Amino acid sequence: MSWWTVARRELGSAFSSPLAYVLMALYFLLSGYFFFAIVVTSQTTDMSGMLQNVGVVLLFLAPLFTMRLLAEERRLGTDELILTSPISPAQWVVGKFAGALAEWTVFVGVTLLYPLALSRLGNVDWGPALSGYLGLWLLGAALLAAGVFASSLTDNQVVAAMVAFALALLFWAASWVSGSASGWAQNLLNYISAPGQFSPLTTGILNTSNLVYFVSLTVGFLFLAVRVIDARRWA
Amino acid sequence: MFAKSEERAGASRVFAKSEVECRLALVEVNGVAKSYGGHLGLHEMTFRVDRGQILGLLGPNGAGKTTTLRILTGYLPASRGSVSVDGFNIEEQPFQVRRRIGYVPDNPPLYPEMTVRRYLQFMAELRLVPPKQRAARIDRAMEMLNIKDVAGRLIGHLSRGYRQRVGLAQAVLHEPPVLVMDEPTVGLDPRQIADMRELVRRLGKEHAVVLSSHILPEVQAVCGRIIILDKGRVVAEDTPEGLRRAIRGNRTLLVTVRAPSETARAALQRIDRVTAAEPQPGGEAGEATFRLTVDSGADVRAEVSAACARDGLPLLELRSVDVSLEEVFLRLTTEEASAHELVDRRPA
Repeated sequence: MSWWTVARRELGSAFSSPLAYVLMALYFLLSGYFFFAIVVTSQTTDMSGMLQNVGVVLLFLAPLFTMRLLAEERRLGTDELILTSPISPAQWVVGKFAGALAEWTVFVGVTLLYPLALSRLGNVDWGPALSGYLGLWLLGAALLAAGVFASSLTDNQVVAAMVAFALALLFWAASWVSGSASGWAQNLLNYISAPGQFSPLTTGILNTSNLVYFVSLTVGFLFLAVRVIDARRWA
Repeated sequence: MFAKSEERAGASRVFAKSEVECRLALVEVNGVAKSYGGHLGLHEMTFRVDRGQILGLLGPNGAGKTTTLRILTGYLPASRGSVSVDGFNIEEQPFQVRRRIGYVPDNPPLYPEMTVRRYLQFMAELRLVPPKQRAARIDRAMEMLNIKDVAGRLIGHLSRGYRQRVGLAQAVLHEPPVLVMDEPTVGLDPRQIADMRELVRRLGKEHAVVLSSHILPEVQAVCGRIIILDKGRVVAEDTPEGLRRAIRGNRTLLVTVRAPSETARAALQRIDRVTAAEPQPGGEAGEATFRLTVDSGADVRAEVSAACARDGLPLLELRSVDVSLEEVFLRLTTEEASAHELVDRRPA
């Protein structure tokens, strides 16, 4: 269970730095704002609008979550320590990702207070609300995995954040350009579009293909991160 | 019955012998080379380190010391050759090898936001120390490295000396038979350097230690065997004394007598096997000092003493002039001819 050791260290380390609290403050400020602006002012218990906007916020926050994960290890030289311990690069990457995912789970978990609060004032349709939160969590997992991959490429945290943001934007903006494409290209762009896969979940449509999309993206980026670490040894 | 007990005795002897052989061949590096994009950064290197030995890799910056250590610890794969630790091949059984090595890179690999104890707990888990033994091992390592007083402090707030010791503590936590240290005293003050050398000497009694350094006195002080590297090549391998002897070739003596310089020189040059008597500057009035070069490293101190007594020249000083390891190092890494000569003298 070496990955679990890494994940626990990662989580402890994240909450011992001010960055986690700054991110938390930003996340709660913005999600609280969207909750108020969309749900409270429009007098509805539908959470989908709020969750989709929080998804956009995540586009910016995820790179900040992950930028230091592997880049910092290389800068400190601790990667040498880890990779000469009885742990494989895959276990290391999974541990790092699991730590960041646990942090993200705390963030998502706290915002569950919004529908809970709302349920005291009106009737919340828990099906769409929970599937929306599941979608948000999965979207976060995919963006964090992209960030882990970006962080494996460099020892510079700023570069890692920029690459992670570019990757996230690539998947986010695919649907923007799909209109100008046609045929299989349009289908492909629509499929890889993260909002296109996320939106159905926020409305309560729990489709296997949406889940497979996010899981594939997550596993794919983690695999790439492992390959980068392996490849660097042979460079 | 007798045959059976003999068989058992024989079997136990074989077992004992193979056990000894395993212990002796703790680290084996055979023909290891490393190339970077077509450029050979480390030429074929072969060495063995046994338990209770301290091997020093000595060389200027960029000589290939860190590359060698990284290959030995499995951080970098070798382009050619093989490495085995305690009988396990590093490519085939990397985890078995890593469990048997404690590694201290040149820059102590530490997490500044963790306390010393938390860091060691993390490392103990990562090094697969059994849960029931962790607390005791951590305490033992902290005691050994004298860092118990900073156990609760953040690593980022520690001095360089403490951080170096914490870095070494993580390497001994899992009680590995092999310790690999890259420049263990870099950045330490003289007192800390002395402490670290003493510690390495102590660790060298129980472990096989491989350390690298570009500081001559360091390897001279702690290593029983030295490999001198230059530009990725092994230019010499021997004990510190062996290296000095090899480079010295002809023995040199320093002789001071109370006599006129020409008289003394004539007397000294008559001694058999003395090939040169070179006057040395300085000295008291009426005294003459010579540097004698003696053929084939022969010890002619008795003859010198007898010659002075015979000619009535009071002998004030007579001593062998030793070649410092620094001279050896400089000659080997600057004079190619000397280097090649010494490579030929390496043990097979």
